[in-house]
Amino acid sequence: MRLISRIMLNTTVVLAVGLSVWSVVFYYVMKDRLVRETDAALMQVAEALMQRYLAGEESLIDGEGSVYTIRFIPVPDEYARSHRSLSFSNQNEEARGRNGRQAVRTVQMIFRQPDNQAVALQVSTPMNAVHNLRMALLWGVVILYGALLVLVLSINYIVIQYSMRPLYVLLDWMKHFDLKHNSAPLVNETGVAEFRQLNNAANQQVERVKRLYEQQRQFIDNAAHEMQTPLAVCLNQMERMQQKEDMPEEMQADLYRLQRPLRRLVRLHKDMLQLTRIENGVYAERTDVDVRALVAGTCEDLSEVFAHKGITYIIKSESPLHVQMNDTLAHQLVGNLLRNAWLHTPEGGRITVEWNAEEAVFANSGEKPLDGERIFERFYQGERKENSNGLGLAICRSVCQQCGFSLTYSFKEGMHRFIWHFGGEKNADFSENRVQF
Amino acid sequence: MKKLLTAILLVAATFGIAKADDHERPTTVDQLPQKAQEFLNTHFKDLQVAFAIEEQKFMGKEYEVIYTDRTEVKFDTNGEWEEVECKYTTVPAAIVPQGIRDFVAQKSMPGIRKIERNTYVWEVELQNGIELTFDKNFQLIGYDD
Repeated sequence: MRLISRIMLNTTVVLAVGLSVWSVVFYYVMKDRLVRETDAALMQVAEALMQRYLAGEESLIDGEGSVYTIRFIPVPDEYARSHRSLSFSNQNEEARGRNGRQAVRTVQMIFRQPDNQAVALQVSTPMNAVHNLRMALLWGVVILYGALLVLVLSINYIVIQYSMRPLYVLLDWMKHFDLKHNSAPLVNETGVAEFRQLNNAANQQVERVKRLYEQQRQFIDNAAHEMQTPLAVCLNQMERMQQKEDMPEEMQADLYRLQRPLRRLVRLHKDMLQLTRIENGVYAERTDVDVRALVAGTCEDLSEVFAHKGITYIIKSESPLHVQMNDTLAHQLVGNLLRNAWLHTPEGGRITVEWNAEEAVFANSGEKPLDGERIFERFYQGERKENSNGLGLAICRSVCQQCGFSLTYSFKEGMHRFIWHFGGEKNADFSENRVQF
Repeated sequence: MKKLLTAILLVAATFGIAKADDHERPTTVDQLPQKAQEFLNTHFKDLQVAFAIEEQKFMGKEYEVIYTDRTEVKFDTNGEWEEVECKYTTVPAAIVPQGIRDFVAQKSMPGIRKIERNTYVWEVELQNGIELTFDKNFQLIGYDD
């Protein structure tokens, strides 16, 4: 859930509950108030009428005004004592000159005449005006409630959205940050101390990572280049020594034993250098590569070593397949995948290659699944193989990343399957050069 | 939390306003404050009460007693009289301060039929309808016919 959604949800709940309570209470209080206002008006009229009655204005008796209905009823002392001298009541009264009844509010005042006779004065007023007012009030409250809720929530949303902009800029920048291709520093102008702190932290971290990456890259470059010459010299010297005719048999054997690790070292060095080159984007130019021809050619080249191990190879697909990538890298990728298959297929196994428009699958028979993630790491070797230096698959993956493809591994029906997706970055997150926050 | 508190406050305020004023209840002379009862006994012993009412104000109460001869007396919450109005006679001379009495006598004005007082001023209405306003020291500060 996004931060803003969470905040909005919480605000809405709290506000809705609070406003509901408030509006219900407000409505009932106002309703009460309306009745009370009516009572106060009635009371005023009744008091004035009482004054006039006491003054002896006989014409008043049982009169009817335009709004008020008035009755003076002499009551016995008994009644006067047992009833409150001021009381309000709601009644239904026969509407004058109309059909049906209407609600009226009546005040009854019991007072004494000069001759000590108790008189009950009843003044009634129709309630329909009050009722209308009450309905208007109800609607008013409901509409106001809705409007207030919407208004407060939208203000809230806009304000939060506006204030949180630096945060979203920062997050967006993080999302698109890439050490190699998109490592521009964060530009995020803000006056908010907290966001400034976050920005600074992000920029500092990125600077640090960039520096470290650069140092590491330079070290590998230098080491690889500087090692090339001494290694070549060593190998040359050794070959010259072997060719000497007066070399004792024993020494020859020693030299041979020394030569093997040395050759391995040279190959390892070559592969590492290649890996660094690929990762540094040396092979940037792209051409149209005919994968079908490439696979067929490579298999042809390797057919002898395949046969040596009793491996059969089948190219299942015949459809033409062209991809846009660097020619050298394509050779390297296909070659490495097939060599890897050859290396890890047991005697008498088989290798199949098939493809469609989305992917190419290089499969070879095997016994149990491998660790699908770690096999692409440098120098990861489940079981140590004589001719493997542990860099083949790392180079493959590097090539794929460089060209915008992806490479995954799966194990199905007794076959190791290396799947080359032309679609691209399914496993982009495993890219080593991406800074993960 | 803050919002809830605000809501509660609002509700309380609404209640308070609604509860506070204009709430009228019938009462009897026996239920008035002692001071008010004494005042009525002293000055209006002979009259017959027609109606008595107690009104709840924002702070305290106000009492009003109406006699059958239409004399009205109002008291504040402590039972101090605030207003006395007689429709047919003059108000009892004893309740009119000396300063006002002298002023009215000097100018040979008609009798006082209504007298009203609060913290700042005294107001009297004469039988010819003229209203006079005095300050605390019984100096005339205004009149209205």
